[in-house]
Amino acid sequence: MIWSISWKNVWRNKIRSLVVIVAFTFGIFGGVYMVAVFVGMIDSRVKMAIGNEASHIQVHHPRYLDNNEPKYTIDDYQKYVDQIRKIPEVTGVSPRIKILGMASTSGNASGVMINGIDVEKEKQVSGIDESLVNGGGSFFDEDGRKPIVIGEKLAKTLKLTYYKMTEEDKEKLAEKKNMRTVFPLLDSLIDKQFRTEADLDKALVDLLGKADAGKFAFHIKSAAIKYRLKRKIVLSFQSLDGHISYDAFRVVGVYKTGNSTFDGLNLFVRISDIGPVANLPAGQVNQLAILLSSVEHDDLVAGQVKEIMPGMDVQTWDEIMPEAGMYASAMDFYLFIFMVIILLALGFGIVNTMLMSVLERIKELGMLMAIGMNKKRVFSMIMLETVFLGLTGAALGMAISYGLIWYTGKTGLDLTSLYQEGFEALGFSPLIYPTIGWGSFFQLILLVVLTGVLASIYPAMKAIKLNPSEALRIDM
Amino acid sequence: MKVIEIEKLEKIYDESEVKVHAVRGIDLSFEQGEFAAIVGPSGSGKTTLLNMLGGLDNPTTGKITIGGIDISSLKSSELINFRLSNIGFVFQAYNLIPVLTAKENVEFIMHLQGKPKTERDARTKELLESVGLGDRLDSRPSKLSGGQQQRVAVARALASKPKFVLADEPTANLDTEATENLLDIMERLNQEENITFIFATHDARVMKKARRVITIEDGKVLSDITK
Repeated sequence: MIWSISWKNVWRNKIRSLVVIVAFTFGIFGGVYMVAVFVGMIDSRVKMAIGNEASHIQVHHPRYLDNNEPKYTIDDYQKYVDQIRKIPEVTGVSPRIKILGMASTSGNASGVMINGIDVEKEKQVSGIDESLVNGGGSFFDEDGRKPIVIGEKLAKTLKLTYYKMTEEDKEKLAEKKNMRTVFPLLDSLIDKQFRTEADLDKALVDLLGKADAGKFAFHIKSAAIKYRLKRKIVLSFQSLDGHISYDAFRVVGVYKTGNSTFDGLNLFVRISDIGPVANLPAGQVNQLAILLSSVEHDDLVAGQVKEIMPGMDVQTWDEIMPEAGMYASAMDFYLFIFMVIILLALGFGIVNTMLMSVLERIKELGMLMAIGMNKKRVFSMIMLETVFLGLTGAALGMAISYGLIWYTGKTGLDLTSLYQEGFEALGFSPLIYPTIGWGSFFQLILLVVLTGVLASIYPAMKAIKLNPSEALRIDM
Repeated sequence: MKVIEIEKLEKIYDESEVKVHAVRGIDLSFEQGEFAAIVGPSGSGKTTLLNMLGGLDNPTTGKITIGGIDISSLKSSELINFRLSNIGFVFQAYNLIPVLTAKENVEFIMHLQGKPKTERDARTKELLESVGLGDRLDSRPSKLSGGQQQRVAVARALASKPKFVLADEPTANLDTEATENLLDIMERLNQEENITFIFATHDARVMKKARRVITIEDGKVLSDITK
C-alpha cells in the first residue's frame, strides 16, 4: 500500500512532477544517445580496423615489429596457413610481405607501406577488394604486368587524380535535394578538367560564390573526382641484401576505407611481384593476418595459433591497435561519468521538488504519524516517491533513446557532408550507427534509483523529524 | 473498568522566553464506554490535555496510564506503535489522505497494523456502512462533503479497534445537520460497541450529547459532571 500511496503522491501536483520527469527524460536521453553515438563510432572503427587493417589476429617474427625490418620473416608460411585454416573459427588467413618504402610518380613521392599479398587469400581476410572507389578500377582483376592497388589519399598525394564532371556525374548530384538551387549553374563545369582539388575549389568559388562553394564543394568534388589508372608508380625500398631496389608498377585499382591515414600509407601488390625484387626467398612472408567468424573467439584462436607456430609473435586485434581496444572498453566508463554528472544535476532538481512536496504536506504527515505510521514507513514513502519520480523520467528517456538508437542504428547517422574529412583523418566512418548494450541500460537504471534514494534523504529526514502534535496545529 | 488514569498531570511549554503553563495538575480517569467531552474556552488547555492523552505530547510531570501502561515512559517509536493499536484519532480538519479513496483511507490503518486483506476488506465495508457511506467506498475525499469526510475519519479511527477514540473539535467545520448526523453515529457506535469517545470541544451540540462534561480553565479542571 505504501507503494501505491507513493505512486499516487507523485501525481498530486501534476505540473511540478511533470517538469522533473521531463528534465529527467531529456537528461537521460541526451546522455544515453550521445554515448550510443560514441559507441557506434567506436564499433564501426573497430570493425573497420579489423576488416581492413588489423584482422583479428596477426602473426609476425618476434623481432619484426621492433623496426618493421623485412628480413624477419615467417618461413614456409604455406604449411602454417594450411594448419591454421583447419581451426573451425578461422575464416581466412592472408600471408603478407610488408616493407616500408617510397612510392614515386612523375608528380610526387610519398613514404608507403608496401603490402605484398596473395590476392585470393587477401580477399578472404580484408575488405579492401570491396572498398574500391567508383571509377577506381578493380582489385587485381586484370592480368596486367605488375599491377598495384593504392588508396585514394595516396592517389591524391601522388597526383594520380583529377576532376572532371560528366553529364552522368551531374545527374547523380540531382538526387541531393538541397543542391537544387545551384544545380543549373553546374552546366558550365561539364567536361571541364581540373588538375588538382585546389583548381576546382577556385572554379567553384568563382561560379557559386564563397558561401555556396563551401556548402556544396564536398559533394561536387566527390562526384567529379577521376583516377589516372594504368599510370606508373615506382616503388623503392631496401631489399634484404641491403641495396636499394626499384621496380615500376601500374595502377589497376584505387580504394577508400574511411581511414584516410591508412589509405595514404598502404598499397597492395602481389607477393609474386614484390618477393623477388626484395630478395625474399619464396615461401617467406612477414605477416600472417587471420580473420575469424566472430571477434569473441580471438583469445581462444590466438592460443591455438601459438601452439601451431611456437616462437612466433601472435597478437590479437586489441594488442595490435591498443587505442581501438581502449576506446571500446572506456565507453562504459564514459557513460558512467556522463550519467553521474547529469544525474547529479537532476538530483538537485528532485531534492527541491520533494522538499516542496514535504513542506506542503506537513499537516498530513503529522496526521499519518499521529495515527501510527512509524518513521521507517514515512521515510520509505518519501523515498519511493522520489525514486518513482526519477524512474518515470528515466524510463521515458530510455524509451525515447532506445527508439532513436534503434532507428538511427538501422538508417545510420550520416555526418558525411559535415565532417567527413575530420572523421576519416581519425580513422572513423562519418556514417555512424548508434548502438548501446543492455548492460549500460541496467547500469543506468541502477544509477537513477541510487540518485532517487540519495535525493530523498534530505526531504525524508525533514518529514520524519516532524513532531505530529505540532505538525497537526499548522495552518496550511 | 478504567481505561485511562491521569495523575497530577502538568505541562509547561518553555520553548520561548515566556513559559506557558498549559496544564496545571490534572487528575482524571475514564471508564470503558464513556462518551465524554472536555470543554473550555480557547487556550484553556483542552487540546494539550488531549495531545498528552493521545501520546502526541509528553507531560512535564505526572503520569498517564492507559490499559495499565504508563505511556509517558514509552520511547517515541514505542509510542507510535502504541497509538496505532490503542488510540483512534478524529481531527478537526478531517485530515484524510487525499490520494486515497474512502475505503483505502479506512483500510490504511489496518494495513499499518499488518492485518490480512480479507479482514481489512470486511471491517472497512462494515465500518463505512455503519457511518452511512456504504455507497461511497471508492470516492476520494475531494468528492465527499465535509460531513461525509468526517464520517470517513470516524470509521478510520475505529478501524484499528482502539481502546478509545480522541476527537479534537470534530464538528468545528460542520453545519448543524452534518454535526447531528456525525454525533448520532458516534453515539450509536459508543452504545452498540461500547467504544470510549473523548472529545475536546466548545461546540454546545457536542456538550449536549455527551454523558460526561469536564470543564477546563487555565489548565485546571473546573467541573466534572456526569449526566
